[in-house]
Amino acid sequence: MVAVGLFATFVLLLAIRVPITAAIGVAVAGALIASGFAGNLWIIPMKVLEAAGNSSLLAIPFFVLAGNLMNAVGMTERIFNFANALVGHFRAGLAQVNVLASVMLAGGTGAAVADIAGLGAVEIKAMRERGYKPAFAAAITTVSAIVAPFIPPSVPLVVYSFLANVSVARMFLAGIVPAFLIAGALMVFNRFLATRQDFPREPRASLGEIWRHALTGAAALIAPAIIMAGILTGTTTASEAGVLACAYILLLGFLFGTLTWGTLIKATTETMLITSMIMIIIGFANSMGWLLAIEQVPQTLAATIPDLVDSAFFFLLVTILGMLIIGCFIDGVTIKLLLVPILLPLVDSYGIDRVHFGIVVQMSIILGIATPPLGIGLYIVSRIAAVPVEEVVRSVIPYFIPLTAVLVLLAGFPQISLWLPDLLMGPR
Amino acid sequence: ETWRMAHKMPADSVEGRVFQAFADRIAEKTDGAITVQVYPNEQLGKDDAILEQLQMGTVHIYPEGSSYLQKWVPEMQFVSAPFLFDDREHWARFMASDLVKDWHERIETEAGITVIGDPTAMVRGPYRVMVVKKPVASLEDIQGLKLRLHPDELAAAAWRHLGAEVRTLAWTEVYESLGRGIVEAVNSPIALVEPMRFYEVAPHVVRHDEYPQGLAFMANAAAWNALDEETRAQVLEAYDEVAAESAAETLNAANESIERMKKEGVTFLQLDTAPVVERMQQLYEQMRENGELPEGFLETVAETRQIDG
Amino acid sequence: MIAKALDAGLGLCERVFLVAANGLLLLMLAINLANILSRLLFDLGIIWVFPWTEVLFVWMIFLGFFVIYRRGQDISLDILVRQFGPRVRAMLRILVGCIVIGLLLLILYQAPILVPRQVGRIDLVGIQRYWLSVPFFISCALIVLQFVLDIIVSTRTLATEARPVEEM
Ligand code: NA
Ligand code: NA
Repeated sequence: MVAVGLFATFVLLLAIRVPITAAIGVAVAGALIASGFAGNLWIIPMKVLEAAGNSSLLAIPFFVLAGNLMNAVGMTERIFNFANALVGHFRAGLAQVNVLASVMLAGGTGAAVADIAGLGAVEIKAMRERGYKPAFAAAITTVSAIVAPFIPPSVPLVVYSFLANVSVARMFLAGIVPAFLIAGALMVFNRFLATRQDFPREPRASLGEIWRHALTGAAALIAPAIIMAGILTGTTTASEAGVLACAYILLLGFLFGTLTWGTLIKATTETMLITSMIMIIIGFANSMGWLLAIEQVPQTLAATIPDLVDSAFFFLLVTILGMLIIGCFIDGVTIKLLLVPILLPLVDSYGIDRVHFGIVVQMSIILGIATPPLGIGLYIVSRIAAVPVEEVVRSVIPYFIPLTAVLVLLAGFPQISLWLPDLLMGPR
Repeated sequence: ETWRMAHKMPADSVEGRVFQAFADRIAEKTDGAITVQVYPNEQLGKDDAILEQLQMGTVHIYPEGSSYLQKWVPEMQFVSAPFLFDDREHWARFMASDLVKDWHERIETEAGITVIGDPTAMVRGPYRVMVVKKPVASLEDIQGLKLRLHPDELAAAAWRHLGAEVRTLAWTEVYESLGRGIVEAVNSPIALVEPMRFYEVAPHVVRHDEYPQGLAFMANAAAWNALDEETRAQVLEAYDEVAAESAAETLNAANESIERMKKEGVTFLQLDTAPVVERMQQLYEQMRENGELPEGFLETVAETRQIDG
Repeated sequence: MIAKALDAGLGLCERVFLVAANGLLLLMLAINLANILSRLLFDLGIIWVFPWTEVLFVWMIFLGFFVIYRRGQDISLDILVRQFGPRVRAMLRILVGCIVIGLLLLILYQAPILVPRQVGRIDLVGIQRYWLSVPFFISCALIVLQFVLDIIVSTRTLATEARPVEEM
């Protein structure tokens, strides 16, 4: 089948050191030709442009810039000195801070890649300086970003709500318990890793030290608060929240005199390059989605499901597996547009709540940012941590134990997703 | 021969069902000479990407609002001029005028895209409403109202002229922006209010009939013209039948949807449009003086109004 | 000689693109901040900010595309290639160069087909749609030249055989 050829080409090209964007492009071009679309290769540049013009991804550059600016003006140190004073004496203290920071930022964006590239720049720098292995810092940064779409605001959940014709408010509420479940699972696993491996550990800070770091960190700690306040008060939309944060950080850098023309340009250059890379990868992968759609691949696959499984739980497992596999090649929104509408009739016939299904789907899809070969999170984090992708992959793999466990729990126990919306909005 | 029809609605929405019905009816009428494969949910791409594919021939039919054709002939934006047409019949007569026919011919020459059937026959909506956080019943209520619009110069000029505070946002951000008050209102065909869930954060739905909406079945002209006359006639027959059924179906679906939303506490209002139409007349006159309207546009609107009915 | 001139020319393009792309990012930031502040202080939104942000975003991405390749900052896996000696590596590098050039030429070949169809004035911005994709095709062309340069350099490595490409 074309998909197998595509996969083999992609991996082979990567192995001989073809750059990732070109490897996707060549594999897709090959697949188009093999499927009889040799005369329609304009699909590739057209889809790259379409992805670049996708306004739901406009949040990315601003959040990434905010992260890079925080590093540039030295706010990172202030925040993490404070965090370190609080939790540094625990094993895996900063790894836990990494997870908690993502939970907080999830209230500011629904884009996991913005979390990785923006917050990640801050987290990885801090963790390296405290003696954590860069590959480990990169791994926990990638997997912690998975909570981003589960706490509102969340464009991914809005898109699902429209596709599945369910209440957005209900969908938002349904994501909250799973978000904390994911964060909790990651933190427990961090603790477990810390006891097995020798993680850096610092002496317990005195109350005086904590207070001192809180004071110097106060100005820096306001940045996340500004993002939240901007959104909650209706001052900014979710994608503009990053703008406000950037402006505040620039102002601080200017007041403290820590901002120089050189550091500013370094931050914007880094932001521009990483955003460009993210969007070009998404763009090339976008043409893959077109090929799958026009060939009706998802429909064909979905048609075989009812013959294979007879229980709701197994149907969900098959869905998860399918999404994880497809998620290795194409990006999340495309998967959702392709698969959700096709699966909904089956979802209804198995008696699965569409909101519950949405959470399971979202979790399966978002895991795709961390799964090779096309886990976009892996490539971003490899760039900002300056660690080879394969090392990041090696460090990410253990985290699939807690993440898979959460995914199976979410599939098997609808109450985890539905309890909060049922409680606050009444059961459906 | 298999044709591809792309659209952006969910397959089980009112429009999605109408499109599928048209596809099925074509296969039936042409006795399988043409089968139409439907691709819902923007699976093959968004507006511009689909229109370009329509030109290149990987997509054969794309049902959407006529104003999308302004890509090639900018005058087409005026087929959805706000608060200008008296009613759907007036608009239908305008759309059948020589002026609009001429625009369509230019589109076919320039872009190789033709419109199958009468675009006013296939109903969208069936009418336009505003979903808003506070009740709006008169022109005064529009003053200073923070209204979300898609980037569209004519609509922006119109609503600003009516006194609204126009803001442009990506549609994916509309729900939350309504919730947080960055915008207070959004315009939509009634059919999309329930699926988009805007009413959850803005519980008033105001019918204002901003402009009548239809669906133009844009087709690749080369593919269409390559069909023999008989087949084309069969397709048009299928179109007319489905269009005739769609009007009632769309209205039914809207009424059912309204009943469901009422149970959720949504209120329904009617905007007093007479003063709105009057105020808009000034803008259109002004635009004509500035040479911003197509030659003969207002005249054609007036002529098609005066036809006895 | 040709390689040197090519390198200098591409270096100049890199600087221009870098400055332009950074400028676009800062401009995006500035106009969006202006929009937020205008709404906050005057209760007045600036309607062209959103459509212009979309345009600037696309341009920034496409200008950055060339800079990424010029700086060799696109992600690639060298886990396998690291095992080989300089000679095999230079040969692989030439092969990779040819593959990337092939892809980009294929894409560039589509430009005259695609660009005339990417028409339509972008509302509230006022430019034709094809101006969005022009920087993409220019970047593609420059990346082709960059890989041509790379191939020339790698060929020399093969000729001299001794030193790895990185030291040239
Ligand atoms: Na994190
Ligand atoms: Na979020």
